[in-house]
Amino acid sequence: MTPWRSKLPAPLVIPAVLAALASLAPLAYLVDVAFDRGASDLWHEIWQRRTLDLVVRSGLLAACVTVASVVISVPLAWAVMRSDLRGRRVWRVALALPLAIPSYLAAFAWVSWESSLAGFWGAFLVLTAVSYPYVYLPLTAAFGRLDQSLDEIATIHGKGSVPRLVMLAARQCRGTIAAGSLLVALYVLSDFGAVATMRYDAFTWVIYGAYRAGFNPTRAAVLAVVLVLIALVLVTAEAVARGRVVSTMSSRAVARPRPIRLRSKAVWFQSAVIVVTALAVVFPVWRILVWVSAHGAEDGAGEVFSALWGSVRYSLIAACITVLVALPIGILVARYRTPTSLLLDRATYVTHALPGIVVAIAMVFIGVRFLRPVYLESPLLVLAYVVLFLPVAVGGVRSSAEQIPLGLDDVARSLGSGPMAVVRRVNLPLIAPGVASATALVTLAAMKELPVTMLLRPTGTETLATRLWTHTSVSDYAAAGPYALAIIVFVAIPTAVATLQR
Amino acid sequence: MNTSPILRLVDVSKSFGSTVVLSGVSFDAPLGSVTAVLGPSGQGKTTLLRLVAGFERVDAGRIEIDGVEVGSPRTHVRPDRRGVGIVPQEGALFPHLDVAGNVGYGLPKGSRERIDEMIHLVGLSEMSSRRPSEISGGQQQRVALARALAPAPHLVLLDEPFSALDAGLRAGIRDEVIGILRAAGTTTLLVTHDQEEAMSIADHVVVLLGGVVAQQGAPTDIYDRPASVEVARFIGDANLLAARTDGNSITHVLGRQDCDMAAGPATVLIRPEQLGVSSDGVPGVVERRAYYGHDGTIGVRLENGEFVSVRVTVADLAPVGARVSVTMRGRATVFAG
Repeated sequence: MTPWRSKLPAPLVIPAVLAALASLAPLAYLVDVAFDRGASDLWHEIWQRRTLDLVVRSGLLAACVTVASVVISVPLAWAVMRSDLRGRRVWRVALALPLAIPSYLAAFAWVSWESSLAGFWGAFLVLTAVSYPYVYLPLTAAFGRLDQSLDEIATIHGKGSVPRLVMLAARQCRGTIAAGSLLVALYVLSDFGAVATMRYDAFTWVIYGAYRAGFNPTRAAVLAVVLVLIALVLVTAEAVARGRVVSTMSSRAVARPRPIRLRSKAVWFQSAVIVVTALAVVFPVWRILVWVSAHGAEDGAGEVFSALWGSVRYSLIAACITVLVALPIGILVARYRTPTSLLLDRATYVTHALPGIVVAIAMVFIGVRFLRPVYLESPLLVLAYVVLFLPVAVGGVRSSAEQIPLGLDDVARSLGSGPMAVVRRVNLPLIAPGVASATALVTLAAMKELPVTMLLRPTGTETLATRLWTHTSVSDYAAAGPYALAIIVFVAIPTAVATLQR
Repeated sequence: MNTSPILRLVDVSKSFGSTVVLSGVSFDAPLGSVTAVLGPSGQGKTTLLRLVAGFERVDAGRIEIDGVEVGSPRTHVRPDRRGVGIVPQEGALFPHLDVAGNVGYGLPKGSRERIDEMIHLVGLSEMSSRRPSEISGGQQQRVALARALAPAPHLVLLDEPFSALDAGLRAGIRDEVIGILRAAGTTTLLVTHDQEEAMSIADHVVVLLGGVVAQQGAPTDIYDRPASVEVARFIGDANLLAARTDGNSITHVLGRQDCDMAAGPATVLIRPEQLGVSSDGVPGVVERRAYYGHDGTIGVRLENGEFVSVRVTVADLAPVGARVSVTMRGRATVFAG
């Protein structure tokens, strides 16, 4: 076994530390603004009725969506992985597709169909539909690894009814369900698009309101800090839960289990799969097609394409820079174990907890105060994307760098390469495919991003997301249709393809 | 071998945290020799190799390569400046480079001739544009060797290089690799847990038990005159029997021989091939039986309750439960206590 190397090459450490510090700067500045009028004022701002109401409202939404996601995911993941459900391979993929649909797009589809959905129930419906895959996807993987001998033992003892077997499998995968649930809760708290479209007074929407209405920076900053604190708790809990799952996971190969026969229960599972797919995937796409075909394109094709170009341009630049910034961090974290690299790991993990609207508000503050010349110019937008998507890019670089055996670095060193030559001649060529796919994922994530784009886009620039938002927010659904369709074609479908390939 | 050693370790120690991995390890590897560091897994062999290569720092003592101090608590020459080639356990070829690219990794640009020469040396001339994934495990190991030899290092380190190969291929590739190393006149340090491998190819064997050198010397010295019961037990099959000395001779269940050790209890080592079955030996009952094709061993419970393993010809391979009598040839090795 090869022990970890200990000495970090400075040409990697310096950019990595700078990048990590830069990505934490918005949060630091936000805290600073929140404390602007002193700690007692901050406490006063937090400890009042409307803030507590806000916590309750957001918490309620997050809790309901999380419970619903578990209720949906457990039986369906079990059915597509362990049972003889008809067409289970197709359903397995179809049920993961909602992951690619931006929440504001789904929200647009629903609210344009029935405006009375606005409010809690609309937000609940949309967020459940787009976020349950965070439980469903890891659960399919976990169910796939389960040993079928337990099922057989249960059956021999007369406890082999389908509901009992589902519960048996779920109990064995408690950790995976917990980790997925926390991701769903984090998604709900961070989401801006769905609650904004549904006009539900959750954290992100209220922060946006505080920022818009009379520009009350302190209150927006205070709420943002509170939101980040809650998110940090979720992120930490998720890391703990996932760590437990990894440590108990058996690495031995399990024979492909024989599917369990659903018999009379088949009709229930079949209906559930159809209903979930219909609500989460088919309905939004169908609604958008209906709008486009009924009303045609109110905005000309030229405007749609210029919005598409706006989306592609900034996203692509941002993705390249983000991945470049992520490279030193990802390589260090994957290939060296020292206090510095562990700290870098934690730092990028903290940025996981930053919701888009928080990054957006923080960058507005920073832009207005320090970066006046680039405020509402492209560099600030790109910078905000970099902060927001750094964790995604670091994750991609890191996971591909972890797959390179450490022994290769040793051999290269003994053949005369210094630490940086090893990075250049061995590590970089081997992680190139992983880096390319990380770039693609960040590009797509930036293309569907809403709050940062909305607040920081350069004056006069439109993107697909901002156009869709502008039209939806004044209930001009017919005008929004073409942009929604463009997002499906150019963002959702490539995202689905990229995600499912991994 | 009258020149100064290429590799010299003097009292080298290494700990990870509070775990002492190596303590006071000293040995020399003369120019052109093959030295095997032999020991069970987890006894510091790989750490020793990593210290020599420069991947770890020495806590105490010193390492010299070609007369230059490369590792000590004060000095640490970086691995890329030591001129030490390594052949890791599973080859560790660069998957993004072809065979020629791997062999040429440590050479300056434009060393095509040297690359071809090295590939030819290991007999893979037709494979030079293949990827590592397109060649067999044995071929990968030979590419790793050519890659390590290409920059003409002072010393080549082999880290259990044959253990990942199929048993059927192992001996052939091992002999081939050692042949290439000997022909090139390279000084070789081999780390292995396989005592048969160490005994068959090395000039000099260093037995590492519990992080200390338990014994070193030529393979025959170690086999015939192990320095301790532990070494005896680790090197080859060993029958260790209780014995008693009276100051002039030593007596055990299978015989008696001269011995000037002070009177008291002792232990004797008798190798299975020193034993045989005949009509006038010590009676016993066969409890185990193993057939190897060319010969076999039987495990015999002697009349005094001691158990010995006897190497026998196929004709003498008695069934379990049979009564046999065991005799001994040659001298037993005596240990006090």
